[in-house]
Amino acid sequence: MNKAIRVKNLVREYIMGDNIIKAVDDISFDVDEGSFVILLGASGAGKSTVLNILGGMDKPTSGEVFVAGQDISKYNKTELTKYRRDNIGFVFQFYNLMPNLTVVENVELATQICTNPLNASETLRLVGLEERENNFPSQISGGEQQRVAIARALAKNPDILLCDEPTGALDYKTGKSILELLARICRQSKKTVIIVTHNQAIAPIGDLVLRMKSGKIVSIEKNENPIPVESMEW
Amino acid sequence: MLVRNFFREIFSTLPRLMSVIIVTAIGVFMYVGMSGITYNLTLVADSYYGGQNVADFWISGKNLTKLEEKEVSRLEGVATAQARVVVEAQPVRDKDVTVNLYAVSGDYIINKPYIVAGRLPETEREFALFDEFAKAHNLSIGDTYELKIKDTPQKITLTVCGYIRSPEIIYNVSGIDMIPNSYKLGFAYMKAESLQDLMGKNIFNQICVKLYNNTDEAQEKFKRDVDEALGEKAASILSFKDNTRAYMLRGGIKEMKTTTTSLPILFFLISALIMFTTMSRIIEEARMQIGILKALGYSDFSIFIYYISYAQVVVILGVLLGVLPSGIITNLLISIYKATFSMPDFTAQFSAAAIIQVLIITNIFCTGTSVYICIKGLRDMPAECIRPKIPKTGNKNIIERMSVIWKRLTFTEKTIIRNIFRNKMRLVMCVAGVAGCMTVVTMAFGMNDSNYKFFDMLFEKIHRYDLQVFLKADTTEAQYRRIQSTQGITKCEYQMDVPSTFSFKGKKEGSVIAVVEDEISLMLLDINSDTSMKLPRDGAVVSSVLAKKLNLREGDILEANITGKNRTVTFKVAQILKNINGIYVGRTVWRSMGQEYNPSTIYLRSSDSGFVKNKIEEYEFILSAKQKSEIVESIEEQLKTMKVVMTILILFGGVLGCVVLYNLGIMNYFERIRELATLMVLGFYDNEIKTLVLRENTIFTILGIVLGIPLGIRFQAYLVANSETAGFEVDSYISCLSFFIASCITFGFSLLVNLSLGKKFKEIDMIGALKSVE
Repeated sequence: MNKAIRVKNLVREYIMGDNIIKAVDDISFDVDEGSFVILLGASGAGKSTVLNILGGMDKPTSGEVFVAGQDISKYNKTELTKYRRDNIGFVFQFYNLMPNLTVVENVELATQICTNPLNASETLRLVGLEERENNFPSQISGGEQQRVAIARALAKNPDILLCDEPTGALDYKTGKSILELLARICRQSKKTVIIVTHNQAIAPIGDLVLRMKSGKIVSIEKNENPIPVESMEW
Repeated sequence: MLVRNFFREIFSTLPRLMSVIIVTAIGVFMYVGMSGITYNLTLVADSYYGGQNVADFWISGKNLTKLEEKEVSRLEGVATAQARVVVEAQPVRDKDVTVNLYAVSGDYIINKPYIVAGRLPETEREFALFDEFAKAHNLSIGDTYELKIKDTPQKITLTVCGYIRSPEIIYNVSGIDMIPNSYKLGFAYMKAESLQDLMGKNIFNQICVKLYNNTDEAQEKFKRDVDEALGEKAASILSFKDNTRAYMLRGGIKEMKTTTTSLPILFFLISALIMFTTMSRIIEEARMQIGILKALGYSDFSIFIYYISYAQVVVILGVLLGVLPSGIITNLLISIYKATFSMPDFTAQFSAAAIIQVLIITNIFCTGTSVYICIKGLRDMPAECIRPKIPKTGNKNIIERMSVIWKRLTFTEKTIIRNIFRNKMRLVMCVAGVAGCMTVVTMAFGMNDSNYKFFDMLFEKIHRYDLQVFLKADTTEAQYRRIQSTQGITKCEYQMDVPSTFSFKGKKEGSVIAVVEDEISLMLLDINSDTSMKLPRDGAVVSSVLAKKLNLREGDILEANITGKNRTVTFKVAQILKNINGIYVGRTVWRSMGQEYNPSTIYLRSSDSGFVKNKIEEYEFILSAKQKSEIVESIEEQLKTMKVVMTILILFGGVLGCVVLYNLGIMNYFERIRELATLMVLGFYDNEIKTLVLRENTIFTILGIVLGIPLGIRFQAYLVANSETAGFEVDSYISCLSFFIASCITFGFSLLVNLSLGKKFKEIDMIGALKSVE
């Protein structure tokens, strides 16, 4: 199977005054194409930093990051922007929708700049929001807003979908439906999905579970038979 | 802890705080600076006119004695009267130079000279000389100076005992030249005894009069009383207001008043708008902090004080930063006045009243806004404050409803339009700011255009002579003929100026009757006449300014009292024209009323005016001859003052517009930082994001410019209407080029703002901005 992501000796340091903080301390891992990855860790473990680097929003201090065979750690600013534009879909804990644009326009905002986008309305149907197309973000619930954010990320037809605490701001039931949606997208459209979370209970649903602590990966676990989201409890 | 938080907060809101402070400072700067001009000049004028006891009237006549002086001083309402001798003299060697001599017996009571150095004359061998004239002629105190009294063979030699200036000659012009020239024109004060040989003992030719109350009624009554008491002995009575050389300072202040009050108010209005929006935004954003403080148990009062102090930072710094340099603008404009007017030297002071006014207004807008928003916030429960404010629900805007257009728009365009409509307050502010900037810049150009156009028209369409010649009084018929027959003259027209007081239905106004040829072609009255104009045979042509003042219409009968002659003539108003001064009558009409005609001005046309000028100047009955080009030059000199004012206006109007745009742009930036970060994550290039945010500024700028043009026209028309230039009615006019340049300047300023805002985008931290809900 092709490797979608290959991370080698990744280090990310931040300089805070006189101190150097190692947010990510020499980690390496591979991710197969189309797998559903859960990156687990407590607050400050460095998992978001990894995600940001994978998403082309941050640059590593050292190490290599191959995405679809390309080393993105060598990219300059413009190349990174292009990479984000064409290869990456990002979903945040806070949905970060454009308050001035309707639901469908928010999705179109993403599709208009990519080379190979999906149809915005169809994507919205996929996430179950076809009825809400012409509403503004402030007129729909948090769960629905997160679905719009997912649709927006998805509609770009990216290679990788990166989700930073996608259920963090949602209640149990809504959060679960979002995970269900992400899992379905991963299985159906064979996209690599990486979810960053501190919620241990989510681990069993992933194909690959990476656990981080103080900037290091403490365990890499391959799940041959991940449990379906419906049967997961937390 | 609250104190520490206070300083941190000031630091964290620094860019916006700075821009409000700058806007406030500009408003304050213009207000205090501009009002400082009239304030200081009025202060100086009051103390100078008052301290030196400038006369209310100058009565001229022949063979006046102490008897007449006493008679005048006994008239009702007269405080003091002083007789004196006034003669014109010239240095023996330099015929071009004129020195007016003023001599009294005893001490100076009215029109006391202001001593710059040395002292007043004590003996008949001394005199005190105008300091600028003395400087121009290299005369030191102690030097002797030989003068020849004009039109007599008499010569006197006097020692300079002091340098002086005079409250009656603040504007040192001769009446022919309108530009002060302290080399060619001087004056001196001396003892009457020095001129005894010339005049005879205790014989005077002028009485200066000071009234108790210088009201219009008192003046009119006084003039009548003098006519009655002195009869033919009083050749002319000149009032303070008609005495240009004395009145010019007061008149100049009056003329300036509209400009110096309305302009700063315009500036202040714009800055007040900004104070209001920015302060309300900053504190609105601190809602959550208010909630936290309340939740922690801080009293409403201490929170209140906290935000009032915050506003005070703006008020104090803004006012301070505005007031301190405001002296620059005051001094700059005053220095122009100082160069033109000779008055005691003084340093400009701050007007306490203006500073207090400024403090009150800034407090109303800054502190008032804070208090208002704070009270609004405090009324909510802490829990409500802590929650972020519910965003406004998106609404479909007008353009969106027109689906035909909406569908064609690109995404970026849709986002821009939505954002503009969502924040209408910002739209209004930005457009108002740019419009304000545009108004000021347009106006500045308009002032320039109107004046230049007026003078161009004046010299092209009205003044069609090549040479203007002034004659001495009592020129004889033979002398007229001598001029006319001078070689090189192709055309010759005469004019007589008769100073008079006009009255109509109880209203009175002093001006001049110009008696001209029945058909004129060298000094025309109407810009619409081609080459010549026939004067009406049944009446007079009246200037629109005079007609307005007296409420005259064509067909009315106007009464004119000839100054110093105690004679009244009546005219029918046959025509009212702009662009002239006083009234004009043809000489046949004038003669038919039985009036004497001895013109003192001649307009000449000649193909070689330089040659004719030199020739004519040799005649002893000529006062002066001026080529048209010399007159044009002197007017252009006067227009230079305006250029300075214009530059100041453009500069500050522009800075104000800049700060408004920058301020609101930066506010927009901070408010939308999450959106911008999201766009970056989605993979928008920097330029695309810039377009999204900055295109708005461009739209605001264009709207502002479009709105500013009519505002500029209106404002400029108002200014022109309220400040007549040299007694003429000037038409408000702004050329297309000026509109274009003004628009370019405004647009340039906005581009500058966009450039500096664009740099800010590099600072966006995608990760940080998206992490937390703030």
